Amino acid sequence: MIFLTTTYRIIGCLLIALCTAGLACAANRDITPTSDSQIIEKLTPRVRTSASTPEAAALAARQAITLARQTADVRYLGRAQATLQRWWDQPDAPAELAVLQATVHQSRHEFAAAHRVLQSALQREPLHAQGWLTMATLERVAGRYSAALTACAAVERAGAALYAAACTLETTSLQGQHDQAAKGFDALRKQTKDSATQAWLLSLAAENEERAGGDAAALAAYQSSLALDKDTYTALGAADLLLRTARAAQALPLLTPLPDSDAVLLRRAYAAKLLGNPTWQALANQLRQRIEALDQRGDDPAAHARERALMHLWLDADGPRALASAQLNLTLQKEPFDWWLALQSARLAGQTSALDKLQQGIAITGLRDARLAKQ
Amino acid sequence: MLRPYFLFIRCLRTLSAAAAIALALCAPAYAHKASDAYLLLDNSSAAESVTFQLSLALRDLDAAIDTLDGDNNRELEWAEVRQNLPAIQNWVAQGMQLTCASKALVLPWAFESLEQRSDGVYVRLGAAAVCDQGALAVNYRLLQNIDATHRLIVAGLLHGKPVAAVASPSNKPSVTLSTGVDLETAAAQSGWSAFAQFFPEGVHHLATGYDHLAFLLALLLPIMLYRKPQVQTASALGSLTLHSDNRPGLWFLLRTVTGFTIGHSVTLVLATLGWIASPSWVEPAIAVTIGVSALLNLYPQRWARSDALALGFGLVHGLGFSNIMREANVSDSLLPWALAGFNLGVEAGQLVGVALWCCVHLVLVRWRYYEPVVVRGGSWALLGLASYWAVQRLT
Repeated sequence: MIFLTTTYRIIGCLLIALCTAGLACAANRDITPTSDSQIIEKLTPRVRTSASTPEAAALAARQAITLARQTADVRYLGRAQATLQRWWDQPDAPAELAVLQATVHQSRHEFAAAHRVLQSALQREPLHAQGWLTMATLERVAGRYSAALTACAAVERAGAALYAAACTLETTSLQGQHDQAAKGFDALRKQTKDSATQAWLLSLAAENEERAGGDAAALAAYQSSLALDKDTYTALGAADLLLRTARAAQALPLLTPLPDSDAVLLRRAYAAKLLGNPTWQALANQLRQRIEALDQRGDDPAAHARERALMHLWLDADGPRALASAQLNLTLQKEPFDWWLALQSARLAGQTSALDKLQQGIAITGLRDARLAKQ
Repeated sequence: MLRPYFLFIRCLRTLSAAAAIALALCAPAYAHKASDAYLLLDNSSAAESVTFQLSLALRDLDAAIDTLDGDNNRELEWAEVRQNLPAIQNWVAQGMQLTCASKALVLPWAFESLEQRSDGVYVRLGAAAVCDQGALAVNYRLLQNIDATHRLIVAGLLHGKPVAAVASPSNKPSVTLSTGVDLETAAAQSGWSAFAQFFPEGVHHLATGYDHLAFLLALLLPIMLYRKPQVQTASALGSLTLHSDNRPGLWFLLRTVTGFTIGHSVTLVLATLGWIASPSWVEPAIAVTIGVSALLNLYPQRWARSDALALGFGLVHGLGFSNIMREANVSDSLLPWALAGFNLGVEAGQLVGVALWCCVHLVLVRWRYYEPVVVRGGSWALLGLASYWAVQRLT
């Protein structure tokens, strides 16, 4: 009897090993075309990467950055950098191009570099609204809310009143003034007729509601925002709310049309796992291969620590590894989601001392968020 | 989610409308990672030829070779790829050179296959060459002006030993694939590396945290390392030299600095380990400690000796240091190391500060206006600075 069980176990292990090997091969599988007209690859829009004047470089870099944002394709960031190469890291670069360089750094999660470049650009041109807005975003991500408010005030001085107001409201909302922020976002929305701006303000209002603990109001705001503009960030925010409140079946349709970024793939896999759909394991394997490919590049491991932590938390249910990655991620970014991720990982790992330390860390930044309250 | 604010997004909406339509129609596979090419080596011994396999993403080839998507419909048919293979081989030969013992290797690149990787379809070319002596090196400049984050990832076996390297056309185009070199891996996070990581943090924190240096200066200002031969000059400001009247100044300086060290070490350790909480009034309180010390220099009290003050107020400063340590979120097992590194870093920074002050002090102390200008003036300045900080931190 025991012998039989052992045999089955060995066969089982072999089968699992074979399946895994098969999947690994599937990652780099050869394609043999059967006809000349067979479509091999669907190409993404081309961007210009050579520019002789600063104006042309700014236009091309903006286009590449916008495409990177819309499609979550980070290759476009490398293209944007190539366009800016002549002015990259040059102390006398036009402020506009330095701000674009900072945007490229920020999109790649190189926050320290983004901060450094912006600081010097804003010294050269202290009334650059986009520069200060990006600076405010960096300060918020780092959990330095008073510095973020200073940057928001500079946006106001630079003449972008609506953006300055939204910037301030988002920051004070992080500091706990949720009611005022909700009223403020409502008032701002009445000032504009542009649907994309309204959608953006609604998504900020949705995040504010989530921090205030009003999940129903938050979901409604996300949905109104998405009805006006199908923004990837907003759809991910809505999906995260639904996944957090165990409504995977509703999250899945939001995720399906989004570009296949690691963040989207992760959430699809988690939703499938929650719904008991066996495809989640194939998705999880695909993610592991992607992370392996990322590792080979030798980039800063902290840059992808958030995705790694989510994978360990949601897909592997490995608390200690999730916590280690989540803590590495916190050295880079301290948004509410990052704290939430670390808290969930510490709970899964059963590490109460880490939980206490995280709560102290949250208190030090001054962040107030119902999702992060002690349980 | 990190939601960047873009003023220019809407300006570009019309510009990228055509692109958006293209996206909706064919929904291409977007790359989840930056651009990479792969070079796989296989060679079991020096006597045999080395086989090379180079994989290039069609998306990258499209950016470099204009004729690839000749009809510009953003779909690559097999015929388009096949017809452009000579152009691709030519482009590779131009932008990538291999050398063996500094002599150029001519590689006859031939098409092997198309392959599906995690971020799209790649073209794989193959070649073989003999490199039986000397180092094998690659100079790689493909996509140099097109994608600044493009990399060539090299892996495989050379003379039977594993090799691995990463070449970057814009930063490090040349890599030597010497045999037997292990892949440089990130150092495991050991206790020692945690110590080494946090030591400079401590130095940096003391050097840039002007409030700690200001406090130290307030304590050190009245200490006289050099006693003037005529005692009567002390009579006018006798109270100021109170501390050094009966004891050698150096001894008092050591006691004061040690008192500060003990004070802040105790609370730094206790707060970092979570045994005591760091209250919200710590930062304004630090400003108050500077103000009180400066005030006591101006209006000395017998009970207030600077070594005792250093010890007591050091406890408050330690709580301030601990905020940094807790934000760092070090794992429990590495915490003692990180703490030791940070604290010793603070002490090192402090010693440098004290040494600098001693130099300034010894240069200036014989100046007849030393006491009214440096000691009293400095104390008034510190008092003003401390009041400013206290108000700023309370509001």
